Amino acid sequence: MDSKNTEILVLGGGLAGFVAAKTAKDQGKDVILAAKSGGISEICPGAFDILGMVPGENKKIVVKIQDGIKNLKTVKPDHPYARSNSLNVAIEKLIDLAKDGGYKVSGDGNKNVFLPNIYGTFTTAAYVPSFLNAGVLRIEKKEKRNVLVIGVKGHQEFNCAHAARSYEYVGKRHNISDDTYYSVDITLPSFKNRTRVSSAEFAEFVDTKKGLMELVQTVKENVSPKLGLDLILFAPVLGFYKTDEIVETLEKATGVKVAEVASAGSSVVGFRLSRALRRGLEAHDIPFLYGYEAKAIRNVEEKVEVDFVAGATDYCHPGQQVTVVADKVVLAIGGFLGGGLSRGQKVVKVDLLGLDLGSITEADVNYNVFDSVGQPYLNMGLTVNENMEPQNIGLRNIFACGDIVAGFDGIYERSSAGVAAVTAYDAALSASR
Amino acid sequence: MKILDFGELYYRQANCFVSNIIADRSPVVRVNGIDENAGFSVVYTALGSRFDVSQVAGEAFGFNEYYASDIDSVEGMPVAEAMRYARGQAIKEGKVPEEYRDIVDKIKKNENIYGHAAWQHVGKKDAKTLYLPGPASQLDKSQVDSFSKISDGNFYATTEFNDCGFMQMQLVLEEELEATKGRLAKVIENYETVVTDDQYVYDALKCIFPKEHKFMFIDRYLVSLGLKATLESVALHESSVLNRLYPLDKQNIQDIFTGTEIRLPERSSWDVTDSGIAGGLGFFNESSWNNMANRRLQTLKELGAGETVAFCSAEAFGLNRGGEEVKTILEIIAK
Amino acid sequence: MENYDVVVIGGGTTGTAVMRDLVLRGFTKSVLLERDDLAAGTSGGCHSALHGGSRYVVSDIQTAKECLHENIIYKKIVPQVVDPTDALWVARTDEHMEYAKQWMHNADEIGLPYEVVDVKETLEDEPLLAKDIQFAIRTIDTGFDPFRLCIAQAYDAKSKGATIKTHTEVIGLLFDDEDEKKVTGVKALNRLTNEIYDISCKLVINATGAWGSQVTEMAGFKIPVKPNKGTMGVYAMRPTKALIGILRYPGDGDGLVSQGYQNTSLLGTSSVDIEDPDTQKPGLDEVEIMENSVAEIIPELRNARFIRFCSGVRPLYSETSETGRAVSRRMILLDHEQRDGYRGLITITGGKYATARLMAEETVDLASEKLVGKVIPCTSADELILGAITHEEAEELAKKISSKYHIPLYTAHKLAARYGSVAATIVQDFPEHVAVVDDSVQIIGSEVLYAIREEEVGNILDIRRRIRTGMGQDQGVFSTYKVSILAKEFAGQSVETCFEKTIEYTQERWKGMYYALQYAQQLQTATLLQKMNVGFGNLDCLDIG
Repeated sequence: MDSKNTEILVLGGGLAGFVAAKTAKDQGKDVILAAKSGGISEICPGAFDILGMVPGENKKIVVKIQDGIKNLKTVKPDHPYARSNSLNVAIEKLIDLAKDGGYKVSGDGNKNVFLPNIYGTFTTAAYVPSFLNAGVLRIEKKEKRNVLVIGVKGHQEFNCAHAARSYEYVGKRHNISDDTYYSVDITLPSFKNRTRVSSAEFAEFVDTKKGLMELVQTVKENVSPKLGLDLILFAPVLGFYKTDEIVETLEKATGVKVAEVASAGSSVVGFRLSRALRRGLEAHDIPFLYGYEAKAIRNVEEKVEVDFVAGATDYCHPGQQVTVVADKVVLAIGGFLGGGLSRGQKVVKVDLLGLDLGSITEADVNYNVFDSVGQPYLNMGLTVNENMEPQNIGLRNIFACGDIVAGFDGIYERSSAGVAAVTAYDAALSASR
Repeated sequence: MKILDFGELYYRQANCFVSNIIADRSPVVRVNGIDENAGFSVVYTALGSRFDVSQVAGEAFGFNEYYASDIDSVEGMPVAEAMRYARGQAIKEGKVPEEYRDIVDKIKKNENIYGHAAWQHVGKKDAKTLYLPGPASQLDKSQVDSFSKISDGNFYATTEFNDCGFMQMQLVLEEELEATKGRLAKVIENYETVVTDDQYVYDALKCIFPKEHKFMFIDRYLVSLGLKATLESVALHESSVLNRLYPLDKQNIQDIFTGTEIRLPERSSWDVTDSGIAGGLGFFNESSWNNMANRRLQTLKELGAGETVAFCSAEAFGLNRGGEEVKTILEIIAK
Repeated sequence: MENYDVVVIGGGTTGTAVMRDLVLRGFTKSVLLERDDLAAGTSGGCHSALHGGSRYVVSDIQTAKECLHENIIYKKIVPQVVDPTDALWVARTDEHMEYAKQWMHNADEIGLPYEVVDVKETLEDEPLLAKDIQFAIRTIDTGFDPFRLCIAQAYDAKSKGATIKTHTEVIGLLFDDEDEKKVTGVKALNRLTNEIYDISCKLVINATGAWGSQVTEMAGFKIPVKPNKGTMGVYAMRPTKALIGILRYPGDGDGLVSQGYQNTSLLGTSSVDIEDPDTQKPGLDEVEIMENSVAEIIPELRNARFIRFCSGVRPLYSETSETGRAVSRRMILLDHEQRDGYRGLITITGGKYATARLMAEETVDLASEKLVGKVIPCTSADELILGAITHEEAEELAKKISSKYHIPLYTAHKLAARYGSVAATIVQDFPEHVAVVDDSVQIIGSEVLYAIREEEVGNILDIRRRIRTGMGQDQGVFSTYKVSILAKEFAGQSVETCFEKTIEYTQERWKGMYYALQYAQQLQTATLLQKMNVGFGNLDCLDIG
C-alpha cells in the first residue's frame, strides 16, 4: 500500500474543497486535495450565489445582500454567516483560484443580479462568469434592449422561442427589464438531419476550428441589422474550453454583445468551472488526487490517517489503495448532492465517519415543494464549533466545511457558494493554526 | 473467471439519476452524436427494465471506454461495467449487432482482431523480461525491434496472447477468459518482469492477476531502465487507463522526456479521455472510428509540437489509421 | 339539455371498459363523466399487476378463475399495455412448500397454466434472488400500465363514437317529475370552467368504485362499499425481470411488480380499511413491513432506491362485518331497481383491475336488457383495442421508426411496444419532435404532442398518465420543464400558464418523494429537484425585493 504525508489534507472536489486547499496553502502549509469526483460542481451553473432569500420571509429575492444577511442572522443565529466575518476574503480566494485556471468571474457581491436561464426565468447570483456577463439584469437598472435568443435545433435542454417570450414576461413582472426578445433556432451544416443534439456534443464541436467557423457563419446569417440588436443570448453550449474565445469571435463577427443563458444540470457549464479550479490548483503547486475516494479515517496519536481507494472501481477493478497521513484534515465532502450525506434505511448517514444523523421526520420536510421556509431537512449535517471542528464524531484534528456542515439550506437561501467559501476559509484557517 | 457481479452492478446503478449527463462524458457520444446512439442513457433505461437489454446492443458494442464518466459523474457509476453487462446479454441472447459478429467470434477464439501479425515470437525464452506487445502493434515488427533495442535484447516477446483477454473481459466471455488466464499464467511465471506498451493489455493483466506485481506499463519500464530522450517539444496523448484506473502507476512523463516541452491537449490529465476507439470495438464501426480519430488527431496536431506521441500502441494505431503521424513512446525512446 | 342513452360515471378501468362495451354493442350515444382525469383514482393507483389468477388461486378460487380468463383476453386485445414478461412465484420455507402444493392443486383444477422451473436456472436468470430458494413456478401474471390500459379503453370507445368528458363531476342526480324513484339524468359540473349543466339519459351506470356510495347517496341510499387503502413503494429499477411473488397466503408485501415496459418496480401492497377515499396517504410502517417481507426472497432489496411512495384505494364491498383482506375481491353488480326500488341506475363495483372487461360485460348485459329489452351479444373479448399489434410486429415497427426518424432503437422499441400501431401515427404526425425529452423513461416529444391533440389533457398530470413523463428515476427533474414548454408552445398557452403547470406537476412529484424522504430514500434526487427548481430556476418566486 502506498502512503503519503502532508500537513493538511482536504477531502472533497467541490467549491469548499478548493477554497480550503487554497487558503491553507496561502498560510504556508503543505496541502493535498483529494476528491472522489467534482461532486455537484460538475453540473452547477458556474455563477456564485451569496444570499438570495431569507427563509420565512415572503418569498422575495434579496436585493442588497448585506441587508439580507442581517435579516438572516436574526432568523438563523447559528447560520454560518452569523458566525464568521470572512465572507469577502473567502469569496476572493475562490474567484482568484478560478481565474488562475482561466475562468473569469466578476461582481462586487453587494447586490444580486439576474441571469436569464434555460427555464425562461432568471437565476439569482452575486458573482458572474465572463460568458454570462453580458446577459446580466440588475434591479437598479431597468434595461430596454433588443435581444436575440438563439437556440440550437434538436437541443432539448433549451427552447429559445419559449425563453424569449418568458424573459419578456418575467422581466416585466420582476420589473427588471423592458427588453424586446426575438428568437431563432439555428442548425450548423454539420448537424443537418439530426433530431437531437446534446449540449456536450455541440460544445465539443464548436471548440474545434471547423465548428467555430460553422457557428460564426450560421449566426451571422441569422443576425439582421434591421433588428437593431443590443444583445445575443445563446444556448449554453458555447464550448468546453474555448468559451471566452468563442463569445469574443461571435461578438466581433456580429458587432453585438454575446452571452450564454445560464444552465444547470449540464455537463458542459459545470465542467468549465470544475476544470478551471483544478488547473488553478495546479498553478499553485497543490497536489490534487482526483478519483481518490476516502474510505476510512482515524486518529493515530495526534495525526489523522485517511485510507483511499484510487481510480474508477467496478467488479474487475477494485481500485488502488493509498493512505495519506496528515496533521489536520478538512472535510469538504458535500451534502446530499455531493455524496457526503447518504441514505440508509430510515436514517441519514455520514458514511465516511460511520455516523448516523438520525431520521427525517414529517417536521423536516415540507409537503409544499416550494415552501417559504425551504426544506428543513436540507439543514442537516455536522454541527461544528467556532473552530469548524465537528462535534461528537470521536475524532480530533478534523475540520468541516461546505454542504456537510449543518445549519443552512443553501438551496432555498441561494447561499451555497458563499457558505461553501466562508466555511472552507474558516476551517482551513483553523486547521493551519 | 468471474467478470462481473450483477448484484453489485445493479444496486449501484439503481442510485443513478442523471443518465444523459453521464452519457455526455463519453467521447463517443460527444463526437458521434446522441440522436441515434444515445450511449449510456438508453443502456441505463434498459438495464433498469432488465428484460430488453439486448435492444441496446448497438450502444453497448459501440462504446467501450467510459471511465471518465465513472469518476466525473456525481454518483460514481461503473458505466464500463454496465456496458459489459449489456454486451454479455446480447451475446447470450444471440443478438449481437451484425457489424460486430465476426469480431465476437474472433475474440472467443482469442484471435487478433486487428489483423495477422508478421511474426510470432522473438527473443530468448529464458530472458528476464517478457514483452507482451499490444495486439495492434503486433501487425508489424518495428515495435519489437524497438523493444529489443531498449532491453539490450534480453527479452522474450510473443504474439500468442494477443490482447491477453482484454476483449474477452469486455464481452463477459468468462469461460474463454479462464482459458486465456490458464495459458498466460504458465508463461508469466517464468519471468521477473512483464512489460506491455498497450494500456488494455496492461488492464487485462492487472484484472486477471490482481495479486501479481511484476507487470509494468511501458512508461514505468523506461523509467526503471533510466532511459530518457530530449526533444524540443512533444504533443502527448496520455493513457486514460493509467489516469483513470491505475493513477498510482502513472509515471512522471518529464522523467522520460527530460528537458522537453510537453504539450498536452485540453483534454489531458484528469480530463483525459481516450479517443474511445482503441479499446477495440470502436474499430468495427468505420464512421465512428474516423470521427473519433480525426477529432483527436486534429487537436493533437494543433499543438504544433515536433512529435506527436501516444503512451499506448493501440491508441497510436487507432489515431493513425494506417498513417504514421503518431509515434509511441517506445518508438521515440528506441530511436 | 344534453341527451344521451347512457351516462357512465367514473373514468377508471371499470367505467372505461363499460364505455367500450356499450359502444361495441351499438350504444354509441353514451357519455363518460369523470370528475378528474382518466385513471386518476383507484385505477391509476393500482399496483400495476395484471393478475392471471395465481395470487388468488388458493384464497379465492372464483376470483382466480375470472382473472385467468381475463388476463388471456387482455394480452390478446391490448398487448401494448401489458409487460411481455411473466410471473415467478418462489418458495423458501417448508410452509411455502405446503402452500405451493395447494397452489398447484388448485391451479390444475382451474386450468391455470404454470411451469415448475429449475431453481438453478432461475437464479442465473434472476441473480438477485435469495440463494436458498427451494422451488419456483413460472406463470402468466404480468405487470402492465394501468393508466395506458384505462386510456386505451376510453379512446377505443371514443374512436367508435362515444363521448368522453374528463374533469366533469356529477354533483346530483335528476329524477322524473312524476316518479321520484326514476333517475333521468345527472347534474354535471365542468371543473375547468365551473359551469353546471344537466345531462338527461335513459340509464346511469355508477362505476365510481370506492366513491360508489357517494353517487347512490344522491338518490338517498347508501351501499356498503368499504374503501380499503393499499400503500406502495416504487423502486428505481426492477430487481427481477418478471413479476415476483412469495408462495404463501396473500398478505402484506408478497412481492414486486415490474411495471409495464418500465424500468421501475413496485412494492405492494398493504390492506388497510379507511373512511374517506379522498384522504388516503401512504403509510411508512406499511412500507417497512412490506420491504422486510420481500427482502426474504431478494436479500439486498434494501439497497435499492425508492423513488416515491404512493397509495391507492380499493372498492371492497361487503354486506357483512368483515374487513380488510377478509372481504372478497369479487365484482358486485347492483341493480338498484331490484335492490332499492330506484329505476335508471345501476352500480358496478368491487372486482380487480384484471376483471374490468368481465365486469363491463355483465354490466352492459344488464344495461342492454334495460335499454332494449334483450341482451345484445358481447364482443369485447374479441375486438382488438386501438393500436393492438403483436410483439413481433412491434419490433419490426420499432426498427422502421428508428432508422427513418434517427432515434435510438431502444427508444423506438419502447414507443412501438407501448402504443402498438399508433406509434407510427405519433411519429408521422409530429416528425419535428421525435427527440427524446425524458431520458429516464425514454419519452419522445411527439408523444407529448399526440397526447395533447388526441387524448384530452388539461395539464401535465394528465399528460403523465398517458405517457409516464416524470415517472422515472429523476422524477421529472430534467424533463418536466421540457414537457411543459412543448405543451405550452403547441397549445399556444401563456408563459404564466406554463409555469403554473410546471409547478403543479412538480408538486405532484414531490408528493411521492415527501414520504420516501421520511424513509431516508430519494434524498439525492429530491435535493436535486430543489436545487434545479428553487436554487437555479427561482420557480418558487416570481417577485423581487
